[in-house]
Amino acid sequence: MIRRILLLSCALACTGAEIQRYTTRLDLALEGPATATATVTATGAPGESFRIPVGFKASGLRLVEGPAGLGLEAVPHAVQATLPPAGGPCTFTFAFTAEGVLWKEILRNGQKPTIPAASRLVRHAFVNTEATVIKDYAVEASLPAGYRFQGIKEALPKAGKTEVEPRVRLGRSGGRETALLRLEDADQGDSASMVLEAVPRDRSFLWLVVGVGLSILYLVLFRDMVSAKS
Amino acid sequence: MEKMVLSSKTRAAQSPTEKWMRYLGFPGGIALFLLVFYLPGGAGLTNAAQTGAACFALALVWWVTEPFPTYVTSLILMFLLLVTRTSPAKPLMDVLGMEVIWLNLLAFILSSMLVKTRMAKRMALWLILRFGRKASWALLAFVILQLALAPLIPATAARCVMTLPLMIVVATIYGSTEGSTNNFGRNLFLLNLAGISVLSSITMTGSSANLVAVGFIQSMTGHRVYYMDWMRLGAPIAILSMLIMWVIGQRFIFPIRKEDQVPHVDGGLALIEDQYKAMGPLGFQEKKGLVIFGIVLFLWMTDIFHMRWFGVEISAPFAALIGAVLVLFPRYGVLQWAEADIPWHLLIFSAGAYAGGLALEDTGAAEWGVRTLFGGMNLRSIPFGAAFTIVMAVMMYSHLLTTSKTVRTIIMIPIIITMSKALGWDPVSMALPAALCIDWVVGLPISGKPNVILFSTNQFSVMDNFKFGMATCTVGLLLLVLSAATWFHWLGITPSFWAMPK
Repeated sequence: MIRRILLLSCALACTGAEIQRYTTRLDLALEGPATATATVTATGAPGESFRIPVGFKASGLRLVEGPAGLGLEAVPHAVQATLPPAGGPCTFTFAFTAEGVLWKEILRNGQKPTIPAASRLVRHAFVNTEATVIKDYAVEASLPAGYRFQGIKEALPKAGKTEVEPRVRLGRSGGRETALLRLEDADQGDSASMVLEAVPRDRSFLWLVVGVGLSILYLVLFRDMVSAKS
Repeated sequence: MEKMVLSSKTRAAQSPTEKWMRYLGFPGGIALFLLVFYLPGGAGLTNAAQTGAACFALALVWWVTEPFPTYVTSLILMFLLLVTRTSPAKPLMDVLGMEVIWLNLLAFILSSMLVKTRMAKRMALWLILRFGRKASWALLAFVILQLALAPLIPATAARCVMTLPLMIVVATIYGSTEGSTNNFGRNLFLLNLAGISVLSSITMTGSSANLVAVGFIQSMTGHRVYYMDWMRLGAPIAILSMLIMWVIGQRFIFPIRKEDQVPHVDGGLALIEDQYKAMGPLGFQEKKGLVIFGIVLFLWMTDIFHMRWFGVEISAPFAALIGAVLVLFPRYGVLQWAEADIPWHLLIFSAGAYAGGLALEDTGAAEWGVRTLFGGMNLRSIPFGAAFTIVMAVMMYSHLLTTSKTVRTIIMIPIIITMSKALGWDPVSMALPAALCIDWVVGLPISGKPNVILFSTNQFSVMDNFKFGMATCTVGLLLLVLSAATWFHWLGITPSFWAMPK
């Protein structure tokens, strides 16, 4: 019975709008919040309102590009969009600042560090909290210059057997390392997340010193291996 | 002939070239590590993946040149993977509990049983008397033996352990012991190493990785691959390759001296016949050993029925485990624990090798390498035959950088299918022949479970393995390309060899 009521209320809450593509580009800064630019392609009835879940602690929402008559308003954890009266598929871009994407590990008293001091963690978790289905969701985070990814610590949900692409794909754009998180056909309640460690690009020369030192030591100490006597 | 133990001694360098290789291998490995470590990172390559590749490159050089025993290199590799932050401690430690390590451990207990009960000696003497009057016929007998076992026992390690005691005794009869190896021993062990793996590609049930590939082909292309589809492509190539290797192995790669062409036993074959007769009928211990081995063999051969029969699948290591329990059973068993010849150094070597391989896979280094390689080639401007040759070569030789057939399949087959679609080729024309290469893991001792087991006999070096393995892969590749140009095309699997992408 409860299940039926929940399904009914869910069906009532559902709108006819559908988000075909929702791509967010994050420009991460070493200090301070990231700059985010989201491009959305949606379909729905003329003048229809729907909510776009943001997945970040966002502020400073502003419309960058969009058709005339498009309404955009910040609401808690989401953006309320109203499609223009002209109808048809509508593509628009909005920008905002996103906090808490690039983290530095903060240690409490006596706590053991889990990553080196210079490392940062890139964290993003997205849940489609709204009734609108998102056909293709993607977030691309660009690391600050001089940083690269150490590794992917978490990429959820795990890619299915028929999915060829990994959940998180790494790349490079404009000389900066990027991580792209993708999720297809996100219904209400579906989620995707990624956690990556970023480290400074420059490598320590200690390895070179130790490597060369050990090589010389070996060549001296084991020279009898190839001496005429042996 | 009684000397059949597996050694933990370091193989002595035999030629001046080998001595120099050992001497320069140490700085060479470090130089390669530093080169890969300090190279500018490629797009999409993580820091951990690049470092993992550097560590693996160092270990590979040291395993091949052997400045240290291979197991010491494995331990160094595990430490390096930790301090370079390529892998956390737990996965590194966990490799010693992997299925393959357990299978090796238990299989050696069973192998010791065959040696102690003299079953191995009896079977080897019979084999020599029946087929082994000349070295080349003895080698051929083993190819036929592996061919007969391949469809019956899918687990390659199991097949290897079954035949290992025979190999050791036959090698001893032909004068190749771990202390003094000869080219007969090299041919024997490496031909078996190749046979065990390559002949798994005869059927799609030959290994679980084959089935993973079939699954990808079906789900990503909609093309159903039937048992006979696979077999009519895979069997001729695998069998022909082994016959070619049987010939060129003893003629060109490791030519067998005239004096090693016949058994090295004072008194010749007559003495072997006398020894065989002297063994008399099967003893009680031998019969016990046969029954225990029969039970394990039965479980290995019937694994697909276990779920129906027992409600649980008894995997190859657990079948060996129950065999080990029976072998070591107090009063009624065959062996005491101290009599079991378990090469712990080999298990450490395997653990390090698997840790390195897993690091390459987990960090995405292997996948990145394959994608970069294919992405860097302009396959759109060349005919099908050339693209086919490149794809098969990458598939065939990529086993040198991985330690798991399944993971290699998961990385390679979807990429090959996607790429074929993008180029306008029928994806099956590339993916199915590529899937036939999955089991050809013959290039290095770390490439497959049987390789690790056979390497422990000290009958061949890493370089010997590399030479024979590369020759085998090249023969297989040439046969695949030749087949693609001819009867794969006539069967409708591949387009014309000279067709250009649409």
